[in-house]
Amino acid sequence: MKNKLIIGIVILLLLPIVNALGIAPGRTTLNFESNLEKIVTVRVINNENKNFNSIIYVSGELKDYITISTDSLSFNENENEKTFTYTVSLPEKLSEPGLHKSEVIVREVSIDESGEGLNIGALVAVATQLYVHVPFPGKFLKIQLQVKEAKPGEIVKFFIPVTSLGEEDTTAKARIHIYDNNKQIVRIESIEKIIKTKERTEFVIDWKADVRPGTYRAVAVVEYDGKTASAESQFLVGDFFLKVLDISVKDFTLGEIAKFSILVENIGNTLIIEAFSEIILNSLEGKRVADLKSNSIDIEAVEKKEMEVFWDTENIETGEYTGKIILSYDNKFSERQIRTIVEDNAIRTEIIGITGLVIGTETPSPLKIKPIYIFIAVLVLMNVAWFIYFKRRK
Amino acid sequence: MKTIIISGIVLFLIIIVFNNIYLINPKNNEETTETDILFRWIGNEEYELYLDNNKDFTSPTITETDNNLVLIRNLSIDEYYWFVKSENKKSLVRKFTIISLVSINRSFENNSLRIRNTGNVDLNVSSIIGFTILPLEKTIVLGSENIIIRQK
Repeated sequence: MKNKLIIGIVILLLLPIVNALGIAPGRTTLNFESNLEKIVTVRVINNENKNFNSIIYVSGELKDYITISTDSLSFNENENEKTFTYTVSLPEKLSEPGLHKSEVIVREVSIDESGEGLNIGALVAVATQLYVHVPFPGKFLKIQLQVKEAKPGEIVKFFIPVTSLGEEDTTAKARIHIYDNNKQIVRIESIEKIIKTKERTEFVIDWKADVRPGTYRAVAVVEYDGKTASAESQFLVGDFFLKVLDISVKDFTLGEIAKFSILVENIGNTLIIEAFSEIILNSLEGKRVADLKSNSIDIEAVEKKEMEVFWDTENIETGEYTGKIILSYDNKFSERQIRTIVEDNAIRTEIIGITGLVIGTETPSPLKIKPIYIFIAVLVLMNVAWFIYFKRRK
Repeated sequence: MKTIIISGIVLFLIIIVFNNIYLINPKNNEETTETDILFRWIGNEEYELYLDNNKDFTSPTITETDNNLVLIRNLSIDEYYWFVKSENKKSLVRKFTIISLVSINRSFENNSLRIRNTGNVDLNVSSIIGFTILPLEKTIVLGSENIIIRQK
């Protein structure tokens, strides 16, 4: 019952809810083969429920090798979708290696053009593209680099998808160079792989990020047959590089303006620009008594710097207030809970730390024998018994 | 002898049946324009669904579930391979492909054409005066010139 309900909800979610003019596939990609013949089925979608005529034509450098099954389609308001096909008949040879493109275009025609009267407004054409990759002579690899980021001490994963666009198979090895501010700190190599022509594969390299938080740069290099292909990407170790160290107020008298000095540290390895903080305080009854924002400052890597927040304490009573401090930069923020005691001649603020961490222990589970294994064992025994019985009867 | 052979085959089939997970959806080699994919299989245990865009499963997305269906949203246009495993069983690997859909929703207002990208890829909208990239689910307003819409 629960499953049926979930399936029902999911099907409702997946139902198309838009009116649209469309074409699918938007693109078909082929690897060149001599005299390759391929039929591609194309869907033209009329979810606008509109009466319209269209013409279909081919353009681009491969147009001489493409034949369309029809050169026009007409839709009435009850027809949501129609299909046609085009046939690609590639020649024995295409001279230039690399990517060759063409497209089959379905273009609305004004009623004038189709001889049925007047059409007002812009006319829209939708195209389905054909990409043909002609292999490069010999061995040729194209690579990318994707990074799964992690926190300090955790594993950063480097994924290097490799596509073989050459005519020949090759063996390749990948390596990752990691840079901290242009200084190489790590170099890791993968094992060697055989990559067949036209195939797509992937190298995966793990690195334990035993470094301080910050922004790092990875360069992936794939070596094959004396050639190299490379790609690079920046990545983060950790996600927020500003840390509040202390909040203090000096020379305070109740009723006057208090100056909070917020000491922060850039624990990352790059400059942080336009960092600021906010202090929000509530009375113990939950009434907001302060919502204060500091000046913005730039902080160099590993630098400690103060931000200033001013609070007019007129009408503020002595006592305890709770709230939070929010540090922000570059559309990222981090907040910590704080508690502030206001006295006649002093304000004391403490940052509330992590209060506890419970670590569970795993109890070993008792040995489980699943019913299916008992069933299979019984069947095996029955077979053995039959076998012995028939053998003796003979 | 015949009985022994038949019962042996039956036993073999039973072992195969009970040690596999049967995948229902998406079908093997299916092509779809949907980017939200509902994965379904037969079974009633805790499972891990492995999904990757390369058949070696070097960088799989692993989804744990105590159910026999998982919905994964916002997949990109690509070929995918998937299988399901439980504590003692593992399904065969299946493949499906998400193909691109070039699709727009349009309306005319004050001699201008409003176009919204309702497909599953970013679009290139071109007219005689140039072209504009129209990201997924975004809208642009154009003059009343004729346009061609294609996958970016």
